[in-house]
Amino acid sequence: MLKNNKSLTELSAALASGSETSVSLTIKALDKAEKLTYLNAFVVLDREISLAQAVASDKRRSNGMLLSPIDGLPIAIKDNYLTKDYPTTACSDALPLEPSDKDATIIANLRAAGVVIFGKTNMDEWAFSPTNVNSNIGPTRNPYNPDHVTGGSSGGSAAAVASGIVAAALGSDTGGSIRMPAAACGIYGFKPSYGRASRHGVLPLSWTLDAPGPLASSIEDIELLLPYFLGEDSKDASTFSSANFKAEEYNETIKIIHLTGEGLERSDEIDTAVKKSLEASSATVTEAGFPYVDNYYEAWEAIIFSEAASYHQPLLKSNPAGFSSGLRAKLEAGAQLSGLEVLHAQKLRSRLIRVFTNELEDWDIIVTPTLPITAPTQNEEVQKFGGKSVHAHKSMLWFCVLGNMTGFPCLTIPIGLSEAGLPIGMMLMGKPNEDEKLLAMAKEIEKSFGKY
Amino acid sequence: MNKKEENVPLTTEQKQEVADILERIRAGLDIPVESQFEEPAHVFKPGVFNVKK
Repeated sequence: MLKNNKSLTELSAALASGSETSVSLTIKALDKAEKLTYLNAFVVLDREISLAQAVASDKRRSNGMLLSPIDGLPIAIKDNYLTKDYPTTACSDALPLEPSDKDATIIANLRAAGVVIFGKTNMDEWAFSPTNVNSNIGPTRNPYNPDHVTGGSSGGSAAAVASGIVAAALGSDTGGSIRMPAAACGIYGFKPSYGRASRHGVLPLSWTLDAPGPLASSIEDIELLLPYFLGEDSKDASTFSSANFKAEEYNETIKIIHLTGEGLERSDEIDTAVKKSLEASSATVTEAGFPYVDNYYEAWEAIIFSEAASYHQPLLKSNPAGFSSGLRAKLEAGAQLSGLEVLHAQKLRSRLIRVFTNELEDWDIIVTPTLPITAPTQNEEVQKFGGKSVHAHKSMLWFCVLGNMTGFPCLTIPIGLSEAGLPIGMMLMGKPNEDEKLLAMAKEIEKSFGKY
Repeated sequence: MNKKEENVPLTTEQKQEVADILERIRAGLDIPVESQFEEPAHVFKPGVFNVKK
């Protein structure tokens, strides 16, 4: 997070003390967004719509009728969440430019909590790219260096939080789309366990991999928001038996496995930063690797390409020109994979889950860098690290896809800056459905080296 | 909805991109998998984590 940004928790305290009002916070955010238009973080942001919600919140506060601890706080929304007051475009030319008249479940929860729904953020077209360069309104710019990408596909949300326009924003994650931009922009991002958070009203990319989650300015901010994400939703069967969220503390010794080895390469600079952070913690750290890492990446591609092709079939037939050239090629490729090939990919997925659950030493957290190298420039096609030359799309996804293939909860936290001044993130993966415990342990680990 | 246009054939460049994607994915999938015929257990049945530990 860029210095001097206020966290959601701090802004909530400012509202409670009376030093700020929802209107004053919203005006500051609107003014900052206007000043930072070069970031291209927002698809749409309406002053009147935002201020009307802020005025209503301040009225509730003065009447002692607050709806929640986050009542009155402005939060930005990725443009693949359905919202009643704004169109939802997924940054694609294939969708209509009218409001849907429906809220996604998470938006409805936040609205019921009194949050100011603060505009819709830029994203990769249909969330199917990892850099946020492929958007119909143009690329987002990294607040640390506008020549570099924010990462995607929740890049607008990451830029809005990292630049301090808002303290938190919503994202979605199918291969790292929350964690990659959060790491590239020096903020926090959380992908819940598969099936803990409702996806109802979040436009799908790949339904066995998708997870909605927050991007924020601290772990405590994520904990403040998760009650509005996690829990059963009758409109999303994957959430059946999902428990409601309650923040926890953790005081025992934490057992970490740091994944290293073939297929898990990273730049020397990133490796040093992660090791330094782990050495500063009181956790026990073991290094381990596992075979076929590259093959699991291709299995992930087989699943996401085929599921996305299935979801997009009607639009692909009726309006193929509504998709960008590159995305259309991806969807056509997904449609040409055979049933046997997709089933083989799912078998590989089962094997990966088995490796993590049964074949590694006992662990509480699995750690990797979030990205193997700092964010590429806007036009950089190939990145070099660990003796490899890798397409920038694959390098962004390098570690993050493991979280979606397994469905395990994952958190990225900022751990410092590179020599060139770009953020470095560390990814912490927890056991499935133990999202609360992962966050509690992450708070302990972060205490040992401090927020950078 | 913008630019609505049906029956637009793939360009030569797109056809090549499709072929490259398929070649890459198929090469990656070309490894033996032991007899695991279950669905990804955790994803579709939460709670089975560590059943064998």
